Amino acid sequence: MGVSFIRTVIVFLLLIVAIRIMGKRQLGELEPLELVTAVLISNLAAQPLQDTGTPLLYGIVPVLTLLCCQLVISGISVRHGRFRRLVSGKPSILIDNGVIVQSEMKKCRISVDELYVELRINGVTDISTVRHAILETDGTLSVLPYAKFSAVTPEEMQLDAPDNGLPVTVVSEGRVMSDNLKLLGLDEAWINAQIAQHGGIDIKHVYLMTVDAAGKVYYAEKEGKA
Amino acid sequence: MKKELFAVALLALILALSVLNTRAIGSLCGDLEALVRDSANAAENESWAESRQKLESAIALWQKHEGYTGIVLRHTDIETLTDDFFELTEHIYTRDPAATKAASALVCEHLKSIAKMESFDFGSIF
Repeated sequence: MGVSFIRTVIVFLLLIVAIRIMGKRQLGELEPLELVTAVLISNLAAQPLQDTGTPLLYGIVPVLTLLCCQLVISGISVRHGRFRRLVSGKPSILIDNGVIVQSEMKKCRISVDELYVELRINGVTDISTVRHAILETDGTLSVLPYAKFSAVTPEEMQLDAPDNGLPVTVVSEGRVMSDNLKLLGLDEAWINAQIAQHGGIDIKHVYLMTVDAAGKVYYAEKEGKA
Repeated sequence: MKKELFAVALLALILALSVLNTRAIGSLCGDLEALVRDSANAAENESWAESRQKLESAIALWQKHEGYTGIVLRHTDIETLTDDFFELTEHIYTRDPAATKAASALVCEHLKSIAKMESFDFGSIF
């Protein structure tokens, strides 16, 4: 038990160092700390489940130890920037004011092809439109285009864009979502009226019905019931 | 902050329980080893009744802690040691001094190895 505890702490710290050395491109949208915990927990938890000869405690102690280490380290990271940079690293600027920072690309071991892939994922095909590209600590690339290539907002166009809020589901697969209905101040009679308006017959035949703050209704009937 | 404090407290608790467990296993293995050695010495002096009685005490002590050892020790270690105990009993019953000596040494080695596995030393950690 004690040996499991110490081994877990050693492996946990070692993996954080290893993943920090491997660099951000290995992370895949998880911070180093989260990745290490996720990788270790799944393996540690599986061991006593697969081998009934291993006491459950051999899985519980390391998992609890990891969880506590993760909580403590992330708690310290939130409060101390220097410690956070030590554990998670800092964002890397790959494109600065339109110029590819080649030294940073080499440091992060990212090729031009990989940079292009990431840019395309971000909807950018012309690299000259990018002002800043920042490789975040979780391995994702944030792309900030020049202002002239940014999408125009309704505010910039001085348009009055209605904000309809979040659509709320009132009927899902033939079932009335009573809580949501109550929240909107509506009742089943209103639903039946809407169904009739959309040419439907019964709530049971409705696949999905949502309504937003402006009262706009989305209606979809179950296949083969129309 | 509460979560972090709870995590630190839990880590300290796990560490404390681990230390207690190491001591408890060490003490249990030590007591068992002493009884097995007494049994072996008695067998060497041809006091087979005393040897049997000491070994039965050791087996009783081992079985008394079954609930605890089942939680903290690998079941293969428990089964191996239990088998070794009964093999030793067989040799004592058949009054075979050489086999008794060898089987006692085997039980003692297994007990030492269990205590060592749970102890906080460089070898067991790495």
